Amino acid sequence: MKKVLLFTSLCFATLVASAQDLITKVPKNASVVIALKGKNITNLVSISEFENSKMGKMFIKQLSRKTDGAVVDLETLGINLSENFYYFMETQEGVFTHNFLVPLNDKRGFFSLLSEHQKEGVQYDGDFAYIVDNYDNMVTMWNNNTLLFTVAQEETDYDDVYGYDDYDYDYAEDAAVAVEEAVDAAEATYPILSFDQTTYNFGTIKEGDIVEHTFNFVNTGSSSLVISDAKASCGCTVPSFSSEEIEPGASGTISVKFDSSNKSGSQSKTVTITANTENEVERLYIKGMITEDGVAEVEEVVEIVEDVYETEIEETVIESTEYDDSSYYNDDYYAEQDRKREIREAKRAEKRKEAMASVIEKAKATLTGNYAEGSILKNSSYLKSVGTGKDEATLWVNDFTAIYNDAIPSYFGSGYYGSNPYEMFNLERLYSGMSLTSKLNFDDTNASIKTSYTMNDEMAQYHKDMYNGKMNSNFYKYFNEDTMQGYFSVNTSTEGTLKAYPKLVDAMFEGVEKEHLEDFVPIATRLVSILLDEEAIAKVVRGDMLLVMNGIENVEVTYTTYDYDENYESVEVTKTKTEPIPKFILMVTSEEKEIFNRIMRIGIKEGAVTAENGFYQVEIPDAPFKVNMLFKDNTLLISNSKADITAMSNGTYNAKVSGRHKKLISKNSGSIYVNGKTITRDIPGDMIPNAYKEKLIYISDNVEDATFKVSKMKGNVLEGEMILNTPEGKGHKNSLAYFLNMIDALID
Amino acid sequence: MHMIRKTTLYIILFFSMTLFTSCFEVLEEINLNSDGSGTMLVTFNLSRSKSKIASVMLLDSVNGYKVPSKDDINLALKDAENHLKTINGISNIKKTADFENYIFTLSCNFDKVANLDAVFQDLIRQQNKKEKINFNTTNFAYNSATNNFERYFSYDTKIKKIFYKLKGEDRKVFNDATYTSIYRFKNAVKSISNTHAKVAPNKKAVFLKIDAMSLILGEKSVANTIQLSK
Repeated sequence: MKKVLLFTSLCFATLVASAQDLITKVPKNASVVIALKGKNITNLVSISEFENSKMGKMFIKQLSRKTDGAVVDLETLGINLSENFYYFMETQEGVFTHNFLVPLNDKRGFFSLLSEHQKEGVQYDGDFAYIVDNYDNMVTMWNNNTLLFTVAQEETDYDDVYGYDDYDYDYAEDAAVAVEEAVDAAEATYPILSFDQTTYNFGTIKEGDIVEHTFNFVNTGSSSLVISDAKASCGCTVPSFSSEEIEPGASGTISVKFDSSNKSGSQSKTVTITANTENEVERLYIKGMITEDGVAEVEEVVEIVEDVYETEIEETVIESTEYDDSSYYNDDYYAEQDRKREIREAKRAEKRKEAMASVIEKAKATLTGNYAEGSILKNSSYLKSVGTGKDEATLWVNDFTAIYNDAIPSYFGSGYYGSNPYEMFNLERLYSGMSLTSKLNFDDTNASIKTSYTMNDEMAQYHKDMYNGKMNSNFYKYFNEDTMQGYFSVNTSTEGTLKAYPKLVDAMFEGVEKEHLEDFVPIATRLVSILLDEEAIAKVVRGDMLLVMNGIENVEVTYTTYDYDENYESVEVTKTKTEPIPKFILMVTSEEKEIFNRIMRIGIKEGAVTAENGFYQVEIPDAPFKVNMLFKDNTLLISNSKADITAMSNGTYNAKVSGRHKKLISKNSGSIYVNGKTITRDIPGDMIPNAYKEKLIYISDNVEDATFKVSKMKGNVLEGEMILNTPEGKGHKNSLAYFLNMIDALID
Repeated sequence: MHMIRKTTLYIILFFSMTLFTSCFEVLEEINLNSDGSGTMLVTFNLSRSKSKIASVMLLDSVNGYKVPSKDDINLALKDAENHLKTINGISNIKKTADFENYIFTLSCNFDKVANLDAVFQDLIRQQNKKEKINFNTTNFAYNSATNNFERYFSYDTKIKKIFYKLKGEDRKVFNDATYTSIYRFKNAVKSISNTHAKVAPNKKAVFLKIDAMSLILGEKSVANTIQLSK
């Protein structure tokens, strides 16, 4: 072990000595470090190769437009792409500082990216030049060979979080902008007055009766609706409405009262509404019959003719909905609030100034790499995890508990749960000593992301209990790697999980005095352990399962349609068609065949299950297919393919499995495999629009497969890996070039 | 365990949905008596795509569209039924919902063809306002004096525009959809104006089947003037 450490340190020493690697500017106590290895990347795809790709061309076009032609290629950008880029985060008492380190070739390139306004704000201090962005708490600082962005997520005080949310911009100006925007919006879009009915028929009433009706409407337009007037064609009809603004989507009402005194016979009245809609006027109608005794006559109500009333419409100008806002802003209450706000704002500005000064100091220290405790290269955990591999990018996250504890701002201090909400849990015991490392790698024929999660002994033990299950080797009897499109395997231990879980919860609350959790939690978990017979449950479901997508099967399905006799009387008929159904097989380990058979027998009685030759067919409510179930040896097999299950039952299933898939399934606690080749091959040709056919052919010619796996616990480390394999012999130089080639081929 | 089950379900559904075809039939049947009364039956038959619909209905949303639940569909049918009840001259309203084959029907009796027209008038008006389109609000007319039955339909080119705004994937839904109308009469049919429609040998029925795409693109119309003998 020592040798390895010595070796890695030596490698870094040479790296530091040979090049101005910016890693020396990352402090030892950084919590998160991301490295983007420019050298490794440009070795795979050269700068000119990138510039000539479609993506590269688009990128440069953008840059060139933004800089008014000052930047025409990656070289004039001034960034040294063959050096390494770093991001690191520091946490201290609730303040996160994010830092981005960019190697420069020529600072003039970067300078040309700045706006005129930014250029004016540049400050100089010895070798350094910097811009301060108060709004974002950001300092951009650079010297001849390095560019640094430092962003501090400042600790917010109580007022900012819970209280007065005032901003330092001008309210009046804001209001003016809002009014302007509202006017613009009103010009572009109108509110729409949609009534559920526009005509109300009150039927037959007695002369002298008063009828009242409410018309409901919804503003189905996209701007606010204001009704400014409603008038009726006759004094006998009185409409009432609200002049309140009605938001888009909101509803409202207009009620109309009709007095039938001195009226007789068929009546129809029009109500003309003036509103800020596109038509400016909308109409409602009420109609009915008035008789002396209120009894309907045989003659029907005469239909109203809308046009007759056209002449009665009064063209009313839309009344202004704007109000004079000066009175609102000038009253005493507002002045007092404004004064208080100004005091708060002044205090905050002072605090911000102080904070900004410390961010500038921090940035200077980072650029010089001047740390009392040294750089991250003195951090053995970092060196051990990240090493000097030829990865293209790495992510390293240090001790989780340290991040949680450092990250809690002090305003939680007065909280009920003490100074830190995480004190509820005993985080220290479970999460101390944990770190995470992720590495992105582009090799010749695959691209991969590998993540390792290092945990403490106790947590590692729980994970071992839960995830180190045993894979049922009988599964391979029902697996054919030539036909399958992909699979999903889980290899957990039900027994281990049920046993470990109560312990995990106990550990979490151990020593936590709040609410007597310390005493209470173990009682509850003990109860769980007593009630559950882990072994018995594990017999039913052991915890390992495998789902295989098995290609396409053409199945006959029935559907209902209509036939017509020669007189076009329709008859419902049932026809059949073939439909490509994706076949799947789910395998679960279980030792309780008796329970399974008993359930199936109940199902048969209930009519949901049919006994077939050696297996059962089960009707699943709402599912698009029936499933077939077979219990063989210690395995429950579930599939929607009757043919496959029959073959499995008879022992004639054509199985084929290579070491590669056996290893992936049984050596990991979980895996996902996707075979891009078989998937594209199995898509029925007639289902693809012609425009995509060529692309699909390219894809199927140029894809291989992808795997995702979560390893079993090895020592204290849990590893996850995602690998995308790229095809050989198709002219892809390496897997990074592969992505550029795919983009070039598939994007128009 | 719950997560694993869910993952399994999604994997299977994903494969199902990409494979199953989608197509549906809309059937409009009117039996007209000589006095202008009659019955109407509207059928939505999605039976041919039942595998796809069953898959889709297990999800909350597809392509950004919310998938209606059984309850949503029942509610919509109930709404339609309630709407029918408010129309004068409409009676004997019946609805059926078959969630195994995905066939939904709505039927009613009408006293006059004009009653039938009132059913759609408000709906079409609202839709016209909302989408800024201009569909005819009168769909059917029957003149008992001349024995003339009219099915109105005016095509609005905005339909095409709205259709092309849909994503290509969503447009495919209409590829195999059909619209069928059957009008049956007590009197013999003398003449019809729609060249795509057919008259039964007994002269008592007019049949018209149009693929949804022709209707959307305005290539064919459902408009028809049917002259009946006295």
